Order: sequence, then structure tokens, then C-alpha cells
Amino acid sequence: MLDGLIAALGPGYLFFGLVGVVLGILVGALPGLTATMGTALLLPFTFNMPPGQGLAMLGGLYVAAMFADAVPACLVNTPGTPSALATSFDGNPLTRQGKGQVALVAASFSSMIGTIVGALVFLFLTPPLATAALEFGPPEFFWLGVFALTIIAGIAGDSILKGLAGGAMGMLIATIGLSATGGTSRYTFGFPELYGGVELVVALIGIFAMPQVFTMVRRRRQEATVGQYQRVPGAAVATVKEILRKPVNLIRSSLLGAGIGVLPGAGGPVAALVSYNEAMRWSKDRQKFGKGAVEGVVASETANNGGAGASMVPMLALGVPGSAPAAVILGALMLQGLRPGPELMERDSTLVHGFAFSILIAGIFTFVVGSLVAGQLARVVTIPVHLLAPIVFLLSVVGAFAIRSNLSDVYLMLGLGLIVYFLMNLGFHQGAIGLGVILGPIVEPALVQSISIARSSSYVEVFFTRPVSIGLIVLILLSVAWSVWSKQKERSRAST
Amino acid sequence: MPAREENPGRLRISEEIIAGCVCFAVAGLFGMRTGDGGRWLDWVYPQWLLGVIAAVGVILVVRGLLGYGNKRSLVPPVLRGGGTDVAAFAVLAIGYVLLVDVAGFWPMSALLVALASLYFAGERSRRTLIISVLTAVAVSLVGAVVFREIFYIPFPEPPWWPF
Repeated sequence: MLDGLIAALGPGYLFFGLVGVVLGILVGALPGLTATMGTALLLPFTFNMPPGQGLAMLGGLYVAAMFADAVPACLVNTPGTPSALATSFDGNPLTRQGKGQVALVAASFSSMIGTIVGALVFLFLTPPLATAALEFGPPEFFWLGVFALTIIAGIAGDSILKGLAGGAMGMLIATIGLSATGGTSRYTFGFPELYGGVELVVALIGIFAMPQVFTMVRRRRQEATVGQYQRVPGAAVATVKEILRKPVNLIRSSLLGAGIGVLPGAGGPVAALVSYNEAMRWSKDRQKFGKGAVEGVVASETANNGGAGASMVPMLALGVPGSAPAAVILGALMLQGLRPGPELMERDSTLVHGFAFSILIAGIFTFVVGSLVAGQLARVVTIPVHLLAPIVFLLSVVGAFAIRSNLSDVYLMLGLGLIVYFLMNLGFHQGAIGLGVILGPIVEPALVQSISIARSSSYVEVFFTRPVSIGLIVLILLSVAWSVWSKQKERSRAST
Repeated sequence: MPAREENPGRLRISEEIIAGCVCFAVAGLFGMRTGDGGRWLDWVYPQWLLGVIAAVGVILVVRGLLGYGNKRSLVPPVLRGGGTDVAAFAVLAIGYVLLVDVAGFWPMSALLVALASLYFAGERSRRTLIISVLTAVAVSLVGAVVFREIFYIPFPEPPWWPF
């Protein structure tokens, strides 16, 4: 392990790690460019590099992109990737209050902590966690998805009913196209373009960025800018101190992120949403959530970066990538002639440990670079609305097009944006719709596979008797009961 | 929650009823195509979702009839206040995405940013015009360099495009 640390501190590792971090911040900050796309674009450049340095660059890009997706989420309420959805719930309200710098520093610091915990899990717990992840079958994934859905009750505002309907509409959008399990064409309405389904990032841009543009335009006569910018000297130090005053949130979110990140297929979005929900449940200032709670940004960003490092666990130990960028990194390893699995962990332990340490160092680079640019980035909100709205619209179009180089994605994004803007005016919450779109592709295949298994045995046995499932069901019931109880408490407090 | 009359004297309807009707519309639209071929297992989950949406729709309508929810004017929002600006931007955006394939992505993008920023600027002066045009050209140039040259994204280009 010491050899790995020494290798990771070498100039080659550090330089290429930093290059990866800078590129990752660029990729993550632009909606439509994802960590997967960034790592895939960098892949050819790693062919002629020593394997360790190539991995350090790819790992740095992945980690930094997982932080930088918080930039558009906080500044213009548009998650750069699905993992930043929960970040936007509080990051954007903070920005509108003139605390954009605080939101971004909080995101970069918590990303660093999450990355460090994820990397430590990767270093020390790879063999046992990889084996435990295999115990997670379709019923467990189904219940995990349902557990993440219980966040709707917390974010839906006054109307849980509309939150529920919005979540179901989002999940319905995710069913458009060929079904993942049976290949049946669903809800294509005669448009061949819809056979490929609605791309997740395209949907998120439509659900979040477009209504934001329309809202800016509608309010332009009352508000010349989206928010204010207050330059606070020493904001970075003050924000870090504030975060460290609540260490439980950091520890819980890191562990949840790393724990869920290990599961192949669940990944950053589920980790961030579950972590946000738990932070809201246990916070003493839970009424601040959704209105600009730093704790909310911390929970989401710590978890999604914790998941990034942990997603390497099943990839290196079993050859099963825990996330899409991990799959690209798996490709990079194989192109170098390295075969992931227990053998790699023993034969090339210096390489594996060096990679884990370079992820940890990339987390620190991300915080340094992120907190340096946070103040400048936060000034975006002072751009006059008549200039900002068309620019955000243009970036959204670019992001939607960039995913598949297809104009029909742009039409879809615009159509979804108009529909969601209309729904928001009726009290539906865009976060609930986005949540449905993200969780639908996780919940449905798990449900269908579980039903298929249950048909040859018993539904009760498959869904309700497995130990992990029972644990998740208990958590779901507690989560719903807590939401109902806290809403009742808020109402009675408001009426007295 | 008691009903709140925002501006009495005009024809108004509960927001809950409109939201309920939207749920019915979504459930109806998707429900018509549910079960179109394929194996039944592929429709279990969408059917369940449609059931949830329709059930919520029923509850919302009942709540609206009982007097819950804010009252809204029946005059479409697009004809009121900032709604006209949203409608104007939506028309501009639709025109842009339809023409982008013919006229080229970046030239049309520059035109969109220039026109929209000019339209939404509070005062129209030579200074506003210069800022709008310069912003549009700068954003499009930087966008073209970053996305086309660095990330190799093949944006639509017109036949007359020289680069």
C-alpha cells in the first residue's frame, strides 16, 4: 500500500490527476456533458501513457465532474448530471439569496470529504464489499428505489398528492421507448425517434433548465437579475467551519454514498437522494430544507462523490462496474492488458492502491480548484436576465443535442420544458418529476425481474422475506410515517 | 386549507380541479396506448403508474369541489402579465429549433441570443444593441470552439458555412 501512495505522489500521477480534475470541472459544469462522455473522450489519450497515470487522469476527471455538476445545479437550477438533482433543491435557493459562493464552497468541500471516504472504502474494504454487493438482487434494488422515492414527501411542499402524481408522471416518461426487459415498444405514439427512449440528461434539462428560463422571462419586469451576489471575505473558511460543526451529516452522507455506490446500477443519483432525505429527516432545521439549507447541499454532494470512489470496488474486484464512468475506466484497464478481478488486486496491487490514492488526491484538488473559482462562478447570477435567459437556453439546447447528436432530443427537451412549466404553475414540483425520471429506470427492471422470479416461487417469498428487503421495507415505512408526522406537526405549529 | 380568492369578480376555478384534470389527461393519453403489443409483464409497471395518476386526479378534483386550493382565473396565463413574454420566448425558441437544421446551428444561435436579449431588454438603445450583438457573437464563437473543436460534437452546419 505504501508503494501505491508513493506512486500516487509522483509528479506524473499528480500532473495528470490535476489535468483530469480541470477537465472534469469543465465537463461537469456544462449540462449535457457527462463524466461518462468526458472519460470516454479522454480514453484514447491514455493508450500511450503508463497505466497508473492514465487511471489517475480518468479518476480525476470522474471525481471532479461529480462535484462540478453542482455548479449549474446551484447557479441556474439545472443539475449537470442526475447525481446533482438533490443539490439543486437547496443550492439554487442559496444562490438566489446571494450565497452562491457558500453553496459552491460547500459543494466542493463535501465532494472532497465524500471522495476521500469513497477512496478509503476502495482501499480497505474492496473484497468484503464486492462480495456483499452480490447479495443485492432485483427485489432489493426495487425496495431501494422505492426508499429513494419517499423523498417526494419531503420535497413536494404543500401538496404530497401533487408530488406523488409528479413522481409517477416522471416515471411514466422514463417508460417511453423499448422496454429494458422485454423489448416492447411503449408510448412512442408513432414517432420512430422515441424508440430509443427519453435520454435521462435530456429529460433533466427539459424539466429543470427550460422552466427556469421561462420563469426568468416571466419575472424580468420585476427582477432584472436572477439573484444578488455578496462577496464575503473568508467565505470559504466560514463555510467549511459551518459544515464541520455538523460532522454527523458528513459522516452519514459519506457512508451512505460509499455504501450505495458499491451497488452496481444504483450509483450517485440514488446515493445523493437517499442521503438528502436522511439529512432532512435528522436535521434540527428541517424547515430550511428546500429553501437554502447548506446541510442539503452537503448531504447530496458528499454522497454522490462517496459513490464515485466506491463504484470502483465491484469494478476492480469483480469486473462489474458500479457506474457508467467506472465502465469506461474498466475499458481503459482492459486496453492496457489488465484484467480486473482478485488476480489484479494481488498481482498489480501497487497500481490498484496508486489509483485509489490518486482518487483521494483528486478529491483534494477538486476542493482547492472549486473553492478558488466559486466566487467568480457565483457572479453568474448578476448577469441581466435579458442576456442570461437566452444564454441558459442556448446551453440547454447544446447540452440536449450533445448527448446523442440528435435534434429530436432538442425538440423533446423543449416540449418537456413547456409541459413542466405549465405543471409547475399548477403546483406540481419539478423535483418530484425529475426524481421519477431518474428512479424509473432503476425501479422498473428490478420490479419486472422480481415478478419473473416470483412467478416460479412466491411473491411473498421474493418481495418480503429476504433480510435486506425486510430492512428496506422497515426504512420505507419509517420514512413515510416520519413525513406524515412532521407535516402534521408543521401544520399544527402554523395554526397556533 | 381554506380556498383563497386572489382577485374576486372574474370567472375562477380551483387549482386542484385543473390539476386533477391534467392528471386525467395524462392518464387518458398514455392509457389509450397501454397494452399495445408485447408481453403483459412490460405493461404491469406503466399500468400501476397510470392508476396512481388517475387516483390522485380523482382526489384532487374532489378536493377542488370541496373548496380546497387556490382559485385561478379561467383567462389563460399566456394572455396575462409576464405570460405574454413567456409565449413570445416560446415562439422564438420553437422557430429557432425548427430552423437550426437548415440555417446552421451556430449562426442561428447567435441570431437567437441577439434577438431574445434585445426583445427582453428594458430599454432599447444603441448600447443595448451593441451589448446584445457582442454577447451573441461571443457566446456562439466560444460555444463553437469548445463543443465542436474540443468535444467533437457534430452540430448541424449549413452548406454555405465556410469553416
